[in-house]
Amino acid sequence: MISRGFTSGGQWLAGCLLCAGLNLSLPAHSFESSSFETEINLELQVYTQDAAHSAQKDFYSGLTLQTQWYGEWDDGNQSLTVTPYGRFDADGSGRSHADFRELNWLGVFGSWEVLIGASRVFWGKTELLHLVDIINQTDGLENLDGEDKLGQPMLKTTWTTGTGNLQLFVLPWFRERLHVNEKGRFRSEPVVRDSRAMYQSGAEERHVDAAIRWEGWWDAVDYGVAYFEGTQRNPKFFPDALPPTGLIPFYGQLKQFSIDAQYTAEGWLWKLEAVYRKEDNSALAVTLPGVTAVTPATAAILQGFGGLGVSPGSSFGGAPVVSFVEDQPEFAAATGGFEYSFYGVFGTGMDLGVVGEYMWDGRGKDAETLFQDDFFIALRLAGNDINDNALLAGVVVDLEYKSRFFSAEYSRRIGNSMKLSLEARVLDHVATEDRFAAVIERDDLIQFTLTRFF
Amino acid sequence: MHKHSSLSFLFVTAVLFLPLLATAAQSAAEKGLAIAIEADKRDEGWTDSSATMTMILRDAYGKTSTREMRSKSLEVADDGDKGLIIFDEPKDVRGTALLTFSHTTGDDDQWLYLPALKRVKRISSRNKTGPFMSSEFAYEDLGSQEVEKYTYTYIRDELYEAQPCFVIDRVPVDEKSGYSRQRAWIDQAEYRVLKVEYYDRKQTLLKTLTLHDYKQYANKHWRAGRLEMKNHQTDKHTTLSFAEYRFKQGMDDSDFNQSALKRLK
Repeated sequence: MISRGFTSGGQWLAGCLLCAGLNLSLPAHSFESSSFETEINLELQVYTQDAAHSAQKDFYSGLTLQTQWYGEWDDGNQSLTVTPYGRFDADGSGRSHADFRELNWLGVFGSWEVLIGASRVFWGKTELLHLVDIINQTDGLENLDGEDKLGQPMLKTTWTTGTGNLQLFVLPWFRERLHVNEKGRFRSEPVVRDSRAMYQSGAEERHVDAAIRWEGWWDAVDYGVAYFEGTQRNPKFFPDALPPTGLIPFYGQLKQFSIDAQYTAEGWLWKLEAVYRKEDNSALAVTLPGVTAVTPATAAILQGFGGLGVSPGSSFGGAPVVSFVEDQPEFAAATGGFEYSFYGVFGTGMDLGVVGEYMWDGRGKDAETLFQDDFFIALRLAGNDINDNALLAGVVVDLEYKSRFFSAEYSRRIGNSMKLSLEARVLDHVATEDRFAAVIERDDLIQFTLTRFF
Repeated sequence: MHKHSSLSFLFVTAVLFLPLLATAAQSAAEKGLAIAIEADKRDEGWTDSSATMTMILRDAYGKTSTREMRSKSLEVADDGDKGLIIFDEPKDVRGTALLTFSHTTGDDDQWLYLPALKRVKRISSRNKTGPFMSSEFAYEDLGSQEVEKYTYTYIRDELYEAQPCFVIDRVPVDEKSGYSRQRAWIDQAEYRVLKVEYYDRKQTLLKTLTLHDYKQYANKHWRAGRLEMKNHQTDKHTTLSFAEYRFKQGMDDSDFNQSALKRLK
């Protein structure tokens, strides 16, 4: 019910009816407590540079709607949460979609907790890059910060002790990452063909993933140790042909061991996240239209697509086969830094926070990430006034390519149930070899969001 | 006989009361501490409690803004209490929750739950002087009031609102406190705090707190229904009202941990 096919309008409507039906079949009086909350966002985006591709626009507008219905009974030990989310985009850029951010039953039995259904889980400590966080797929049609996630179907069991909790996950259904179409910004050229996604596992999105995590605290240290085995959340891409007309996502398998920790001392927070990953992408072996011979030129082009290689076809004399050169990479990646707060600055009630984080990826330039050797520094000013005026401004500097990515966010409350946010993102000084930054070089953005809470 | 008797009365009186007078003269600090300990002792055994809180913030021009919260507390023997505050209004922060393990000495442990990300984040508890929800209450005003957090001096007895009170000064032990001292009026009958004056680091009167509508719960525990905090330096004012006080609902440590924080709605 949470499959990618759900994004069509008819099924979305069916989903809404399902919610309504659930609401009707469980009359309010059978719950000891229930709540209904809605949030509507009006979003306007202005891109300040001419688009890199002709189908793209400079101005986009959209509306998002999220409601959360929650009911509990059995002294609050059992509850249902239903959180449908929908985005309606006026521009046909493929960002319109719907999802159940949450659709689950939760039962608490002493120190045990069981959750069945779609939910959101956060792992980690750092602010910019969430390396360790892996349970949920990023909602690729939402904000570039990657903090919007799709609801992940799961069976989750939590056992809580005085010093932490042990979480066990069985994840029976994989959520594919969604990408914008030709009309959207922040995209590759050519665009990603989500409908043609390929998998390492023969079970495809039905591969059952599993994870275990211990999350604890000891004095001033909060830490997590986790292991995940299953489908990679970040797809790799290969061209559909040479020259390419589209990119096809490939979801390999992954074994990930991770640690994350935070040490809190006076005004300082010290943070670390580290992962060790072992991928299996060996199932990718395809023949591509346009790849007819194993030549150095073809090999060079394919290598540029994130480490693809080409080898002669099978003994049947078929076309050359494209696959990953290093199809079972093992590597480590880490991010860490600090956060420090000055309280009551400028003789007012305002707080000034400084965040600094470094990001490293053991694959170096081959890493399919923006953050392989980057530093992030940001200032956060919190007004602590009646309207919660807040300003966050930061820059990510790629220490290798010297690309710079500036971001500023201002927000304030209007009355008791509205919020206004303004966000600006500027990518500057982009080196063409910084391939993940280069594709969004012309996507400098100012975004205005007005939120109404009900 | 008569003479003897009055002499012995004088003698007995002197024997009985001189040491007391001497004690009082020798240590206003001891008397202040004794009052604080007695107040703390009288409230022991509340086990757990919950309440809803409404804050009305009023600026110098009379413009108001409302905050709604729910609170839960757990009594902890030999250390500070555990507390949980869930925010309901304003709506952009609804679902946010703050878990505090207070300690009699040293910094408290605090975790913030951010519902949009389903993230629990340990935060620095150093921000004692900062405004709580942009109100005139600082975090330290609302934290668990442990005896060990102050040193005390008994000042005098005084009638306040027609009730005989002890007036004591308390000086925060923590040098990060925003206050040089607090002067508290505590009623002699029930040891309830009725009024507190807060003096800033420059020894200037910063705020006055008055506590109203006290009610007794479980035949023992007195709780104020309404707190009025007036900032004399900015002319801003906050009214904090408590409702639906409930005690001894059988809460335990498992209601005050990160797992509990994540399932709050």
